[in-house]
Amino acid sequence: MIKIKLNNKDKDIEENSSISALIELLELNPHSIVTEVNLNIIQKDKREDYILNDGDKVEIITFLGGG
Amino acid sequence: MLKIGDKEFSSRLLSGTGKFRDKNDIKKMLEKSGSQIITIALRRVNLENPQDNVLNYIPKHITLLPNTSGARNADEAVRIANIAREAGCGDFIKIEVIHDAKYLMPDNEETIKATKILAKDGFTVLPYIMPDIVTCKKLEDAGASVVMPLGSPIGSNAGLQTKSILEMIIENSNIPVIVDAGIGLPSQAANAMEIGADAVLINTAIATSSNPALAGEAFSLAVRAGRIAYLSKLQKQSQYANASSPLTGFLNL
Repeated sequence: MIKIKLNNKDKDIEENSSISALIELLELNPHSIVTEVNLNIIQKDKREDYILNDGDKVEIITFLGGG
Repeated sequence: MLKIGDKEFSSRLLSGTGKFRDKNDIKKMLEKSGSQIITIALRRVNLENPQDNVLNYIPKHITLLPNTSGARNADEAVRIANIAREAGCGDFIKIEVIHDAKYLMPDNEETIKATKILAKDGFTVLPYIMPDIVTCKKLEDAGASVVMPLGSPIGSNAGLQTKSILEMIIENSNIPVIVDAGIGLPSQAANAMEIGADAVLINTAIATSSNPALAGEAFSLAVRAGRIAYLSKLQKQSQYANASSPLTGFLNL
């Protein structure tokens, strides 16, 4: 297991997990979110290949109503 | 036509997606109001209870105006803007830098800083500000596409409390002036347009009404009426009466 910061909270995940795997684990709709690792945006088509490392700061962002 | 960046809009009513009880009302409101630009916000997904992405409720032909709400300084605003652009929302960005929770007053200084960075980076920048002529000039120099001074605090429905300053800004601005925040009634929106605002942004008043589509239509008519009134150059208010009928040829006995 490795430890990442997910949306500013600690989270343990399996080693060699990709971002896509994380999204699946969290049961999120991959089309309605933006993913960022260590302040870099990871495009949708790069998520499958992007392997998370221990200590990575992962942000999962979406669009909500706002003025 | 309202020109913002390299886009032109026939509607001078900008709308928002905040506070809708039913997100399906957003589309109906857009149809009835004719609004062509709508604001959205970016947030971390609530992992315990993932929310619906609001983009699913906005028709594709509408121009998205992501805001940087939640940003407390220029750097955070720049980061949010970049995420929005990377996510495919286009180049429009409403800069909103706020750290005053009580009145939600924007930080003009940090907003100017963020505008400089983002305009240079190719964004079409729409900064939300406390009305101030000096700030507006600095934003113009920084590459802002418009200025968006507030009428009164966000969501307050208090109308044009800053009217005399707005008039000064409108008189002196070389870029469009969009009155944002605080407009609670169509008559207030009409008033903003009458004094020469190029557009208004209405979210709360429309979204929290019991019929957002109908409210959107009312604001749309008010904005059009106010704009046409401005273009017709109505006469100023006078202390004395000014007869509408001829003052000669009375049928006196």
